[in-house]
Amino acid sequence: MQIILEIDGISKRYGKVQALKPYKLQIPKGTTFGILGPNGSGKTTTLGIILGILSSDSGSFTWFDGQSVNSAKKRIGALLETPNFYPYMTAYQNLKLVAKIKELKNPNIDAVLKTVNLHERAHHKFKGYSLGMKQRLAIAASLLGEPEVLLLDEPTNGLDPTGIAEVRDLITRIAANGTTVIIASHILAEVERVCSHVAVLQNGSLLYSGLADELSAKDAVIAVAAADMQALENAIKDLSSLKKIRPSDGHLHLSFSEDMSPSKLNQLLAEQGIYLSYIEEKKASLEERFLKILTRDKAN
Amino acid sequence: MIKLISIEWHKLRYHRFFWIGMVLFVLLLSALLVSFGSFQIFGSGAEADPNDPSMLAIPANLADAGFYKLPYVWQNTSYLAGFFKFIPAFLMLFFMASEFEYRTMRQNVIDGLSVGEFFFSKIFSLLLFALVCTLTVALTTSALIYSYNDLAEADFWYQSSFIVAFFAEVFFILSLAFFLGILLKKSALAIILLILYYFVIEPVLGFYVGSPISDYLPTRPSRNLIPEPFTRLFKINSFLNIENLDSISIKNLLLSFFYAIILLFGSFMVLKKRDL
Repeated sequence: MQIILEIDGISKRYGKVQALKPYKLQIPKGTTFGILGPNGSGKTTTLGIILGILSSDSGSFTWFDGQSVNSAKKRIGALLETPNFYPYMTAYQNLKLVAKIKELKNPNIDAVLKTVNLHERAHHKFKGYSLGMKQRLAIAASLLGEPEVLLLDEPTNGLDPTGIAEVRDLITRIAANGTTVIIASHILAEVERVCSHVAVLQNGSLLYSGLADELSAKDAVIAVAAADMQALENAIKDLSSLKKIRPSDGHLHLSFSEDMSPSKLNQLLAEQGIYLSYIEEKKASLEERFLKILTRDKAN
Repeated sequence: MIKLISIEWHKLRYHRFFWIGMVLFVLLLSALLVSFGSFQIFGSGAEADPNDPSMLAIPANLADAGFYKLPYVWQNTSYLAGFFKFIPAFLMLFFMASEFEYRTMRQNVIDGLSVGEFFFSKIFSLLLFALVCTLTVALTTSALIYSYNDLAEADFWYQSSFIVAFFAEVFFILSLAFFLGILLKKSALAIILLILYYFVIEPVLGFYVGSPISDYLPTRPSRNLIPEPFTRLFKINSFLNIENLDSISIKNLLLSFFYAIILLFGSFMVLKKRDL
């Protein structure tokens, strides 16, 4: 698989604070890659370094086939933290400037403004925009020239629920076209819904990187219910592989130390004369895994 | 190169401040230069006393005193115009600092401009401002020369090197504004510091270190490029023992360009070293 970005031991120190410890990461072409982490975990520092606006104290990174950062950036659409535009220019004029910097011959300005629903305000000055509109303009700017890589830092920041849904939908559509999308976020739901790969950062350290599915597949929980809940609970407590049992909403949430499928559980209980009225396998959400990774790290 | 100019021009052309500042500068300066000649002189109309050499004739106004006469007109107008150099300097400083205040330089770099390219695109603004200033003075002065002089008996170009001196003076103050805008990143703070440095800190420093060291302080060569012309205009230079130069000092010209280049180089280094 072609690697679009390779990070090899970049790090950053601000005075006494080690904002980013050296780590390695590869981002394959065509993936939707989520960089997850709470505030101050080093997400934005990482993005700042790979975009060449922060210097790295160590290590290196390579875009595409080792292109220089400045020419690589012309193939990347990036939205980093707050939207920064010239307040006295209109949305259209601002995008035109970005197109000049990116050396785009026929910039798709009208199209990207339409994509983010700003076309009706295209000729209004940026300084009069609401936070949500500013954010949408920043997304529009990152889409200019149909970049090969889209790099978004907290893309739904400042958007209302409709806007958030629209942006998620947009990211999914863009990713479906084969564009590599890198999203940094502290909102798990955002990453969980759209990303195929995940890296988890905390306190400047890389805690996990891999497939999002692998992250959530482990530790599945099975929820069950029966007419006689007491008998059900007693029968389940007799199972040797049971790890945890927790009542919730009239169901019992079970986790097992070894592989346990819903059908196997159903069979075991039926053998004991207990017939389930409800059974569901709940894959642990990324959020649960994420919190687990973070707490495990704290315990060490 | 053309790309950088096009980027910088795009930033300037939509800015109301740029147009207001430039139009104000051109109109005010040319209006002042044109009307300066009709300014009344205090005590005008006095006759010279043949018995008392200290009693000089005082002409009715500055035009009568020879303000627009060749060959000194170049020096007279460029000296006067020097007071206006702070308008383009403040504009320069404001445009520079707002790239940091609105974090737009950072965005430019994220979008694919290198720090060096950003720097040179700003140099275009600096040169544009300096050229507009110089052309305003040069064209207004030429018009005044044509209307007040008989070109059959005077050389139009004689002493026109003061225009070069004026360019150097403006180029220096723009470079200082450029540097302070980058260094301080806040336009209000940078404007205050520029005024303080130019009118208080360096003069006080100059007073302490004394001549000839004071002649080498950064703003000195550019200030000394165009000597004040009024003592000669009113013919009191001989009383005050002032020797008026007829041409610009090449040493000061080179020194002011030298300091300007140092400031621009310093700006570049600050930009290069700084995290955005």
